[in-house]
Order: sequence, then C-alpha cells, then structure tokens
Amino acid sequence: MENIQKMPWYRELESGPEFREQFQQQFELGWRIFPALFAPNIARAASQIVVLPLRLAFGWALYGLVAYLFARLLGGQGSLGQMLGCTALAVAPQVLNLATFLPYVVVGGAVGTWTILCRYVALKTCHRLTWGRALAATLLPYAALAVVVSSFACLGGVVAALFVSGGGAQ
Amino acid sequence: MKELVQLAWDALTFKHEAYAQHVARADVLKRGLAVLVLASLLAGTVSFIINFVNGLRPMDPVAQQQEVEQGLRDFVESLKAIGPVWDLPPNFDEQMLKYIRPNIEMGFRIAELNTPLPKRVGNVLESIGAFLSLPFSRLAGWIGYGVWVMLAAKLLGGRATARQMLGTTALYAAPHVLNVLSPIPCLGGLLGLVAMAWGIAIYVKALAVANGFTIGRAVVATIVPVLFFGVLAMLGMLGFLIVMLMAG
Repeated sequence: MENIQKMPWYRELESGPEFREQFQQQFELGWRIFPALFAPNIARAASQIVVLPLRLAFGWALYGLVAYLFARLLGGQGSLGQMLGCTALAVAPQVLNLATFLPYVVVGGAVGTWTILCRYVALKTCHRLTWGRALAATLLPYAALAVVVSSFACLGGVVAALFVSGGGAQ
Repeated sequence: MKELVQLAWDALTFKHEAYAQHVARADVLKRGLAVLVLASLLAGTVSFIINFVNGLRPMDPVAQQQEVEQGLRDFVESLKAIGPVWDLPPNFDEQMLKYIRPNIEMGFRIAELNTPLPKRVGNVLESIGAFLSLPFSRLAGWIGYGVWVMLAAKLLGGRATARQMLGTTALYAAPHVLNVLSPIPCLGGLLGLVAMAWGIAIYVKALAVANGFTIGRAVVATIVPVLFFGVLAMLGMLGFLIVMLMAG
C-alpha cells in the first residue's frame, strides 16, 4: 500500500475528499477476493477431474448436433451417430493439456486450432463433403455460437439499462 | 532419430526428392511434428542452461534493482530519439521514470515476500517450464498460421490434404536450430533473422511440393494471410481513428 501511495496518480487524487478512505476499502476488498480466486486450491483442482470431462462431453455433443444440422443443409450424407463418432476423435488434441501438469508449462493456442482442424477432417470424411462445404460446416457452428452469445449480451445490456433507468426514475 | 536428422538436413538443403518422398509417406505429419518439436527443444537448450544456472545462483536484490534501473534509463533514453516524431513533451523522460519507479519498487517488495518453497526451486521449475513450453508455442504459431495458408492454397487450386500440408510445412522449424546461439549478443539476433528467412523459404518449398504448385503460387499462398490480416488491422485502426475524430 505504501508503494501505491508513493505513485504520482495517487498523490494527485488523495487531495479529493473521501478518496483515501474509499481507496483503502477497495484495496482491502481486492485483497480479500483476488487471492482466493487465483491462489492454488486443492479442492478446485480436484474438482477439475469431474468438471473437465463433463465440459468436453457437453461441448462435443453441442458442437456435434449443430454441425450435423449445417452439414446436412450443405449436402452431407453421414448419420448423426457417425458424425458424433467422428467428432469425438477431435477431442484428442486435449491430450496436449496433460503437459500443463508440469509447473510453468504453457500449451497455448495449439489445442484450440488443432481441434478445429480435426473437426474439419471429421466432417469432411463423415459427410463426404467438398473442402469448401466441409469448411463452412465446421465454422458455421462457431459463427452461430458467436451470434447467440452476442444476442444474449445485448439483451442483458438492455435489461441492465432498463433496471438502472428504472432505479434512477424512482 | 538418424532418419529425422537426415530429413531435416535434406529440407535445409532444399532437396526436391526428399520433400516429395516425405509428402507421399503415410506418417508425414508424425515425422514433421517430430522435426518441429526436436528443433524447438534444441534451439532453446543454451538459453535453458543459462536460465537454470542463474536460477540456482543466490540473488542479490540490490544488484538486480540497479540492473533494472539501468535498463529503464536506457529504454527512456532510446525513446528520446523518437520524441520529436511522436510529439512527446520535453520532460516526458522524467515523468516516465516518476511513474514507473514505484511499480518497480513494488515488484521487488513482492519478490522479497516469503514463499512456501525456497525461491531457487521456483526459479529452476520456471526455467524447466519455459524450456518445455517452447515446442508448444512454435506448434501454436505454425498450426494457427498454417490453417490460413491451407485455405489460401485450396483457393489457389492446391491438392494437398491437411495432413500433407501440415506434415511438410512443419519442416520450416529445422533452421530455427540456429536460435541455439540466441544468447550471444548481436550474432544471436543476426542468426535469428537468418533462421527466419531460411524457414520461410523451406515453408514455401514445402507448400509448393505438397500442393503441386509453382514457387510463385506457393509464395502467394504463404503471404496472402499476412496481407489479409495486415489490411484488416489497418481498416480496424482507420475505423478507430474515425470514431475518435467523430467523438471530438
């Protein structure tokens, strides 16, 4: 805290009324919240053993269903069972994440991109699509997800704005 | 292992038959990945040894602080050269030092805090982690860019499969072994540039062989993603500038 108090921006602001008190409160609140979020936690790490497979299974099923719809619309011939079977193999790059078991090892973006590539090969093979159609069927579920998330974000923003303006009017 | 070294050497010397035989193999991706991982690890060996030994040495906080302070002063000094171009205020160097110094002090105070394990254990683990992360960071860059090159190659009429494309272009990592000398001042940087240029040339050759392209067409497929993202970034900056100007 004393180092922060030495900083020029702090010195400029501390002349303002109530600044010191408010800053001290927020500083202490931050120290109560953030260490708990980011410090190593055995229970949280152990819960990943259950959470991670569930998350991967959910992602695989959701992506498989949506990609199946797009692939069929684009002229795909594979069945849903074949499709889910093929896209399940695309989870294989997640094995790279095992390396992060070692401290300070960073895997980076390789897993995500490799997964997309595996999904492309899975769709192309399973539905016997041309490369262009297979690419479209691979990427359209991501585009659809982006549209849904942004729509919900906009809706959330509108609802929050309505609440704030309603509160302000009262 | 001997076979992989031979493959890397043939790739470095642009032997056409070696590229063609490599593309035709069923384990093209496996061999390409092996070259990429080995080259990345080999390139980081000297830096790893230096970091490992430094991590074991006792730290002198005063000397470290002086080193950081000197580095900061050198950086601010180097900014003075571009000061007139960027229209920086005359005493910006003093202002900058005034703002950054308390942050450095805070960093050193945090580094002095007690840790559950001795600090040297953390340093050694950090250097091992950074070394083992090298193949992953190269892999991420190569596969991330490769996807876009593959798209460009397909649009240009390329006939390689994803496995062939990735398996052959992975050979671009072979000259990056030169980065093993990166800790040497000046020479390290120079060799890094040579490795980059050599790597790009191998990438183009690999792309041409895998897709049955002429070198010209392979060059186009290689640089199209850079141009595309460059134009996109410029349009983004232009849009940002317009919004800033409109906002007053």
